[in-house]
Amino acid sequence: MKKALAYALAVAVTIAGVSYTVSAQAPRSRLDVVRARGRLICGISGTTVGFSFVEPRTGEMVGFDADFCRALAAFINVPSVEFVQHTSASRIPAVIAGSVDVVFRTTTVTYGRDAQVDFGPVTFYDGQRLLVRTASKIRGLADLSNARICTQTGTTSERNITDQMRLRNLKFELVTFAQPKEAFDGFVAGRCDVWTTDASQLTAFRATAPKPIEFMVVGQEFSDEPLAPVYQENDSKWADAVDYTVYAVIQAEEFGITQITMGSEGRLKELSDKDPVIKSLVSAGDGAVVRTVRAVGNYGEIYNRYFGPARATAIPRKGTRNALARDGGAMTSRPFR
Amino acid sequence: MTDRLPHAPPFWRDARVLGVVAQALFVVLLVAGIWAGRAIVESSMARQNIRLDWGFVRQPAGFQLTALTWTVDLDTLSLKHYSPEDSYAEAMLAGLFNTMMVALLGIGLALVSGLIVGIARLSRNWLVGRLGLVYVELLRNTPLLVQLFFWYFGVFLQLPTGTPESPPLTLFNNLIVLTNRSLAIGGVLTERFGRLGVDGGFQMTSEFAALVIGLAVYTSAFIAEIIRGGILAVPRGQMEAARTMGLSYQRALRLIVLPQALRIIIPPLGNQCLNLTKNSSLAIGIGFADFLTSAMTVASQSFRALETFTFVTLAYLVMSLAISAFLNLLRARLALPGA
Repeated sequence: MKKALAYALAVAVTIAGVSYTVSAQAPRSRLDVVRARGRLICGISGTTVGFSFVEPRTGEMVGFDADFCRALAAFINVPSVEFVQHTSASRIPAVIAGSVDVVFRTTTVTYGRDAQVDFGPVTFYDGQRLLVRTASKIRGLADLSNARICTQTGTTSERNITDQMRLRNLKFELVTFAQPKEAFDGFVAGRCDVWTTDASQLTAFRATAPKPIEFMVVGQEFSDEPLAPVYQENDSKWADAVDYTVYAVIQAEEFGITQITMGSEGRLKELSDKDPVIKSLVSAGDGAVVRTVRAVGNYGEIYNRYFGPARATAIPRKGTRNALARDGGAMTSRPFR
Repeated sequence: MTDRLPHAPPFWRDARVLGVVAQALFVVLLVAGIWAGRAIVESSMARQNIRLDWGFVRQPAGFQLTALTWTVDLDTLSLKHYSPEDSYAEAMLAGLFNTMMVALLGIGLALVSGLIVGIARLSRNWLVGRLGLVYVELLRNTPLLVQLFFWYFGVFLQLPTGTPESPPLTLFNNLIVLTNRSLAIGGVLTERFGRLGVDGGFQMTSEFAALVIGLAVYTSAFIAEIIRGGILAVPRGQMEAARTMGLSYQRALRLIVLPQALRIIIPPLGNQCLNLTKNSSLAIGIGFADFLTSAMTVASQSFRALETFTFVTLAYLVMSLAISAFLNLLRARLALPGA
């Protein structure tokens, strides 16, 4: 009897408490949440060569996407980054639920996804192609009749290839994996005739094969995949922080400011005195741009660190949309005034 | 009506009255709690701009996964082949069908191998006993996902790829063909993209085989221990008496000991069947289109994660409850009369 009453009372108090805290919560920007926490929680893949992977020698999480996480932490002056690995299928639910602050994970901007989450500026322009065995004589989508196709579940790649094959009225079998690493392993082991996803991933993973010469990336790009950071909807303060992090590294490259330049106070002062535009860039957000470029370098430096010509995972940049706008590409910043 | 005692306590001290009041109060609080919980969920969903909308389940799925074969036509409620024109709901049902197939086959295999290993563990033969011990300890002390990766990437994908250098294994004049893609029975051997493969016929894919075998082998280690425990729990005298009556060891085990052990092991055995069913969702790691994989694809194509996973949760719950109900029935049938 007493027990039942005590139990009922406990339930009532809990419900009252929860409803009070829920209703009393004022809308708070994620920027304040992250600053108060002192740590940025960044969603990445963790197993995608080139974009986010563990550096075998140091055990550190590195890659194009991982560097953008570090850039954002530096931009908002938060000391550390916590990397959380997500599959393609789990990344958007994680953003919606708020378990990650931002996702840099080769995510394509689409109209449909934008109804659920918000996207930052494009960090990498990609397109879907095919990775095949050189010996297989597959050279494009038209050759894929009755092919076995590996790809990742929950991606635009999965949707695109299905649409393309149905458009051509070709029979096919799709084998889907949670992570690109597994899809690639399955393809190399011979489970599939083709692995299809964004060309950058195909190129990067091909370089890790025992004999890369046995495989080749073929076919026209049959989709447009602008990859961008993802964050929760309707939080413009946080959106500004993420967006201007991306713009900051691009702007630095436009002005030819490298990690080394940013590291030297004297050189910075010299440049700022000469050019008022650089002065406003350097002073923006209490030195946010300086911190960012010091941490990871400018856009070109990040790109070359993982996809530069000297790397095994090289992806040519010249003449693609990933080049700066002044070189005929699509990468462009916004003024930092 | 019971007569009131002459010294009946006042109603506020009457245990029966208080009991009724407490229960009524509890019901009121429970209803209030559910109502408040619903209101909280609704308001926080409104705040994040999430609306539940089940309309998407009838939209065309538009994706084709290898293993999705059979589904239920929701308009006519009949079995049919899955195709990408079918709806999201039918795609998920095709996945559910696969999960049930894996669960049934896996449970069957796990029970048989678990029984053999469990009895082997009790063998007086030193070698057989030790082999049983190694089997159990090796399998139940390594993560299931690692074992699935081993079966898939380490065993099934290492089978012949079908190129001229590693031709497929064939039996009975190409009636049975084994490649690292599938075990095909009765299909047509054709060359495609420089590799021999099979079209048509009955095909068991590598993903399916790896998943079923991985799950069955892993679970059989636990089942072996349960069966060993069950046999040991039957008093020694039963076996001794049976042997005295002239039954051979095998017959004594089969006719006297195992039926009694069965009564003891049904509840823990049921847990293992439930575990196997739920563990089958690890299929997503090795590219088998089970229920969860197809639901994940549905969620990411339709952006309706909340609705999809509500359905996923309910479906797994129903499956688990069905298994529990079946085992309870079995237990009731086996129970000693009057016990």
